[in-house]
Amino acid sequence: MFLNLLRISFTSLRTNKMRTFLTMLGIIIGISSIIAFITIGEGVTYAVIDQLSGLGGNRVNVSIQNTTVKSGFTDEELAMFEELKGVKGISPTMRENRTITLSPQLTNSVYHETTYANRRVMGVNNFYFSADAKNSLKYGRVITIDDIKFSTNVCVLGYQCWETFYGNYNPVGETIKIANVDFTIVGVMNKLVGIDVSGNNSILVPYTMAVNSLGMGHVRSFDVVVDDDTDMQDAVDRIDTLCSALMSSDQGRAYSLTNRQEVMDMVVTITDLVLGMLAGIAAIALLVGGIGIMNMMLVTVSERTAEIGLRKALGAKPYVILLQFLLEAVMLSLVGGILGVLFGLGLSGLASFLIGYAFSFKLSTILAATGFSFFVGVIFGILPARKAAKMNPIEALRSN
Amino acid sequence: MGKEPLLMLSHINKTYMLGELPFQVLHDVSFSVEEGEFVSILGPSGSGKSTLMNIIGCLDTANSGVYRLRDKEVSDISESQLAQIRNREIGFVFQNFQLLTKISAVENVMLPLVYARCPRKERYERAMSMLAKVGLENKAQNTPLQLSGGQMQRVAIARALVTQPAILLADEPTGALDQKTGEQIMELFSSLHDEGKTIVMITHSHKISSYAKRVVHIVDGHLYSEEEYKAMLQE
Ligand SMILES: Nc1ncnc2c1ncn2[C@@H]1O[C@H](COP(=O)(O)OP(=O)(O)OP(=O)(O)O)[C@@H](O)[C@H]1O
Ligand SMILES: [Mg+2]
Repeated sequence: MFLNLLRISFTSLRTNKMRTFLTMLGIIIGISSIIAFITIGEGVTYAVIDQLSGLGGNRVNVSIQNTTVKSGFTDEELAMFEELKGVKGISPTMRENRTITLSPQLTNSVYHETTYANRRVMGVNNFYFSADAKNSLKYGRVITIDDIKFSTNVCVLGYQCWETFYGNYNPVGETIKIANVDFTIVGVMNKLVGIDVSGNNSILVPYTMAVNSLGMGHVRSFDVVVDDDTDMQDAVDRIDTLCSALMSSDQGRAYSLTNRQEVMDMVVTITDLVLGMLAGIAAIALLVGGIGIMNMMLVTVSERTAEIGLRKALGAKPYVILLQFLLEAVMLSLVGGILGVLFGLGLSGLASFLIGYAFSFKLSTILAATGFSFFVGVIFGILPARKAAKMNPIEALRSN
Repeated sequence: MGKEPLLMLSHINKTYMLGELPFQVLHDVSFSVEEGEFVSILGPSGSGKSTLMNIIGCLDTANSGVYRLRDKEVSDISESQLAQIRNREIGFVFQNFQLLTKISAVENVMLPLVYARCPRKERYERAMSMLAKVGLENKAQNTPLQLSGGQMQRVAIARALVTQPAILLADEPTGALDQKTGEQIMELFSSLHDEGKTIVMITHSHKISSYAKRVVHIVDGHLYSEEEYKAMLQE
């Protein structure tokens, strides 16, 4: 019986292909936007969390606020932070813009230009490449501890810098000028994904070079990365103690400590909020799609009054008629839902490709969306189906 | 008295409400049909023929009176049970055929068997043999729109017979056909009667009713036997 009803519903949907498709479109749009929003959101959030936890997860930024108390940290002082109990490493963050000049005569690549004003130059240490930008070397090598120690004239290009400067060409070994100082390119980075992607658009140099040759002053801000198995609060306390020892002041605190975990939590909260709103809008689209189904089913039922009367006269019980039309509605929204899932995954795959994070989805999301579309069919199909089931066969037959 | 008639109505009343006003269509109708009879109910338009047929066909129930079909009381039962009785015991033939136009002739004939939960293969075989019986086995795959009126009515008759119901119930079966085709359909009814089928046919045409072996008259919701009717006319 069920199979027969399925066949009847399928035949009826197939007879009105255009109408079926248009009605389904509402569900397709609703479900695909829900799927896209949720998977894109999850993907981006994962990427952010992944990057943040790649940063050691637990990370505290130390910044000098009052430069009259202290103008910058010396290498020795930085080493003191590095040696604190539970600290994995520190990552200075110096960034200033400088003019870059390429040397076209030395290469066979096609340059668009040779001089780029106001490019971001970042002074970093070797730890940056194992924490902030781990696993992301495209060509060559990263900046090493010796580069820091001996303040060598080397640089690593961020992905976008490399793209604008060199297009597709491996420039390792070439020389560029940063503010008229010669640097040898030793490496090129892959595209960074996450919250802090400033490296993409930067030229990375040993921070000691930034201090000594590029006139960026002293290190005034750096991140402390705390070991995973160390309690964050204990570490923050130790860092705080060291800071106040280094920067005693009678004018209040001269420095600030920012716990990155809090930032991360905030990011997740905001992403969730935005995605929740988007998913809410998508749910409204789905609701409208459901109303579309109800509308189409009501039209179908009244168009097929005579058929319903005949089926009843031939012995179809009310519940069989109900099931027939309910199945039709459910089939409509379920197929729409499945197409929507596929389309939504396609959209989110495209988004992950364009934004540059790893595409992934949860099976539970897909099952939930499919189940949801099933229920939309049931909820919006029940009223028209009941209308059909309750029809008086005599009056229905007469309508022909 | 031998065994009970196949179908027996006693003191049936049917009233429709027209807004506030009751309008009685059937007045104390008593009527029975024996197994194998071919009875025609003859009456002018508006006399209550279709109303009576709806009650006999279990599409509707009376306001009062008793209706027994194959030893079973049919008054006061649920819609589902009525549907089941229609499926098993009644074969309808309508004036306007009532075929589904999107499916083939054989699928139309198979329809009542779907609701009888008959397996698909058996359904097909039974439908094909019924189509053969009405002389349409070579049109089985045509849709109704690819058939003539007479052929459509034959398909409808095949559909009515496929469940081997207790009665074939026809409401103006020739109403939508030309005279010659109508006569062919009536020939088919006669031969079905010869095979022993019980047929109740409703018509307003004397000519058509003459194919039946017994005629009852309905006038303004009152039922009369042939003799009663003649006596009434003479008064
Ligand atoms: N649902 C209804 N509500 C109110 N009155 C009705 C209803 N159905 C039928 N009637 C009335 O009952 C009377 C008999 O109707 P019925 O359809 O049984 O006539 P009929 O003999 O079949 O006529 P015809 O030969 O024209 O088909 C008519 O006067 C009609 O108006
Ligand atoms: Mg009538």
